[in-house]
Amino acid sequence: MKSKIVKFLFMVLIIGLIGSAVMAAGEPVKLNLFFYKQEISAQLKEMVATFNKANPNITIDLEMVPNDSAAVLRSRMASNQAPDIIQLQSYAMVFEFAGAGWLLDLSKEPVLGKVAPATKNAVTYKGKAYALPMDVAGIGIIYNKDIFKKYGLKPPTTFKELTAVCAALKKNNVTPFASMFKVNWSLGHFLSMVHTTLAGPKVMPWIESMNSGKGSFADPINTKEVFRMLDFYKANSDPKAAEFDWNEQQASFAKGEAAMMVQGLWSYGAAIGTNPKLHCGFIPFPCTNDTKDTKLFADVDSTFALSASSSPEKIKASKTFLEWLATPEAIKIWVEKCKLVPTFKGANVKTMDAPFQDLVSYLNSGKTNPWAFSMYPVAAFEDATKNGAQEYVFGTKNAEQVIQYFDETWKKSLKK
Amino acid sequence: MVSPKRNKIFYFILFMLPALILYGMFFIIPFFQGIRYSFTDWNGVVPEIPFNIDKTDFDNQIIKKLDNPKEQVYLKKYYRLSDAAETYNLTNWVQEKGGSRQLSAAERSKIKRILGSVGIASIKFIGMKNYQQMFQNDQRFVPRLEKRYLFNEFADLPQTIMAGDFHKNIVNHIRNSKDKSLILTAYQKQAGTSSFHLTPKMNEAQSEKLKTLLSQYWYTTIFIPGVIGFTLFFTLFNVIFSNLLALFLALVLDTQMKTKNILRSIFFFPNVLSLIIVAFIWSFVFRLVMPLITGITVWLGSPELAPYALLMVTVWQGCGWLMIIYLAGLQTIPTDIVEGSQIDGANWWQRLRHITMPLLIPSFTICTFFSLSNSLKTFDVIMALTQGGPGYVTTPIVLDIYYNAFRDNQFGYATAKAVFLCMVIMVVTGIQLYFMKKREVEL
Repeated sequence: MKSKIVKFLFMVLIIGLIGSAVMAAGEPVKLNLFFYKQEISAQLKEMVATFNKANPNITIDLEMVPNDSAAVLRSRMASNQAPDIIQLQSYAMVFEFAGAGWLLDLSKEPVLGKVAPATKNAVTYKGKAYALPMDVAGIGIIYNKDIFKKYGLKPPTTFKELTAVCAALKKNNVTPFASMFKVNWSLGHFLSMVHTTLAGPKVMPWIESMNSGKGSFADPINTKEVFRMLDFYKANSDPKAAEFDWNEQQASFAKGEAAMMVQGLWSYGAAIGTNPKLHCGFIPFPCTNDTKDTKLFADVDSTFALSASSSPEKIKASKTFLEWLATPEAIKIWVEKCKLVPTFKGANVKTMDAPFQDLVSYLNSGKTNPWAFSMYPVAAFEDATKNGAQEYVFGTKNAEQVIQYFDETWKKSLKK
Repeated sequence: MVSPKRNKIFYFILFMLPALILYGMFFIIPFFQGIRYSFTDWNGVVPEIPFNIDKTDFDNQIIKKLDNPKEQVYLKKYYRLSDAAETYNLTNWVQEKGGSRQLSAAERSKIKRILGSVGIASIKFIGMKNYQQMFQNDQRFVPRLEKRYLFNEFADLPQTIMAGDFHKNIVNHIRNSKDKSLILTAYQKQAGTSSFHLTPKMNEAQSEKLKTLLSQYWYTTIFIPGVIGFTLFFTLFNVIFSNLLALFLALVLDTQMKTKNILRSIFFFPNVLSLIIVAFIWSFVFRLVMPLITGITVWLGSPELAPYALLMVTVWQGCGWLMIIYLAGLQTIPTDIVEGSQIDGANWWQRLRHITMPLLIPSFTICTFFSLSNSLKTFDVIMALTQGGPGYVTTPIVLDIYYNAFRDNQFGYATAKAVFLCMVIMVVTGIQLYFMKKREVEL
């Protein structure tokens, strides 16, 4: 009797095991999505849930690494655990991983035919597209329309006008620029932005000459002008800006203590979050007195790439996700919830706030400069440009030393 | 029964074996692997075996060079020509009945070995180059002298220049006699003062010329401590101040004070806090409280003050822990000796000098060792408070290593620096232990 019960239990166990194994074989594909944009983490969750409704057999796990995402990604690659879908910063990051062979060639995917052709530069390495460009971002002046109206000021289009605006604001005890000097990245963006704007059409040949080991930071431009802009920026910032990081900058701008901030448009979300009544506009930072030179420093920011080392089933599922991103349903969440400017042709962006409309109008009229810093070698931007700009502002290095270190760092990273 | 000696040794080794294996696996092997990597150009990104190989490279560089036909076949089994017939792609996933599986470790290592035999490897041995670069070709790393320019060519011309400054920092630097005479005519010494004054008569071109000359020649030579210099500065002062403060607190709290238990907890408390919270509190203090107390508005953002601000935080955070060790040391001092000296008529200072201090030397040894090795390895507070900035002035070696590896993709180079740091720590703490141990008193 007893042995029969044991046998019965044993059978049940075996059948259960086999059953679950069969179930497991038909189990849906599980993808791992790695991303760094922490400001859209809740929205991405919503996107993934919506995608899951349309494709019930594909689930996507989100993994957010906001700080040092590149470092984390490199160590994941080194241990052979590449995520299936990877959010990558445009240009240098895509090129780095594509060059090492980690990314899948997406050139022939239909979804890449749906993005605006100009945005493909950011993901094209040796003639092949290795990622799907997702959003366009701009760096320029975000200004407070109410303050400008109060003092009868017009958004400046030339450097002369900008000087006049700053003088007028200072007279009325308003800080012209909310800035952050304690952390180096914003200053790095500023230096690269001014350099690119002043170089204008010469910037791409300059990058080529740098990559051939011959050029210098000082080549395409009048160095005097570049560093004068830094002096100008510092002179029109809060004297305490040396102690400010991003939070203080946003607070100062949102509270109306400062009328403008030189930032990426991604900061607008934080400012409007602190003060929903803010009316903002977005304009390029004018560096010369010729309105033709005043172009917005805008380019592709984030992209989605696929890992070449994933299994064929996962790659197929990941491609389905990329295709889905181009559907109106996905674009709607991307625009309305994530508040990011999509790269897809003919995407509807009418519901976005005024600064985004400004960005889109600059994009459509082609008045933009590429993000040259994304094309610098990593160390040349992260160390030489960012720290260099900061060291110049704090007076620990002069212009020549900053340029010399920049050239040296670029040359060093060419060797490998 | 007495077991023979050999048997005893055998059982001892058997008993220790698991510990030895673990020690070897998790310490000895990684340690020597680290040293090995420090001689390579490992960049952390390039995969162990390439995913794609150019067709011409594959044919000429690999297949032609392989003598063994079996190896050729083996490689071709895993590298398939792409549709466009331009590259050979690694079939990372092998199709088998019942699904696909990733390449096994054995297959990978075999491919790696075959590719390595024709000189294709992701990591190359480069000898001492990393160590050379560290001391010869890294502006940020070693201390050095640098010119600090005192005049910015965009600024207005200064009306007066002090005589000492004028001679030492401008005139002495000029070799060209034409430039020298130009500056000497533009700035003339005024009778009765010790400064040189700008001559007012000057046209636009002349003043422009003068500005470029001044920006070119007006400089002083200053000492840039570099990463090594900052680490040593930080270590020296952190060891001195945190030990002094901890000893002082321990001596005070070892008396028969009523609130001593509460005070001990309060002084130890900073050590319990998470470092991120500490950084948050202090960045708040430096921004909002310190300006009110001291009148200096910029602390962490100032290249001059940031190192001292960091020192302050570290001493505040670390001294509680050292205080506990000193307190424990004080409590091991037998009361009979102290009472005996009291009866002999020793005053407080004499007791401290001749009884407490000598008996406290074991605690000194531990505390200095602890704070020395910790401040040489300091990372977290600085990462959280300044990220090594402004510029590079507060970057200790460990943070520099982190930047080299994870920001600049120079893992091999960063490993070389880490090996160097390891040597420094071993030498410094070794010397410290040798001298302190000699002075310890046995009761």
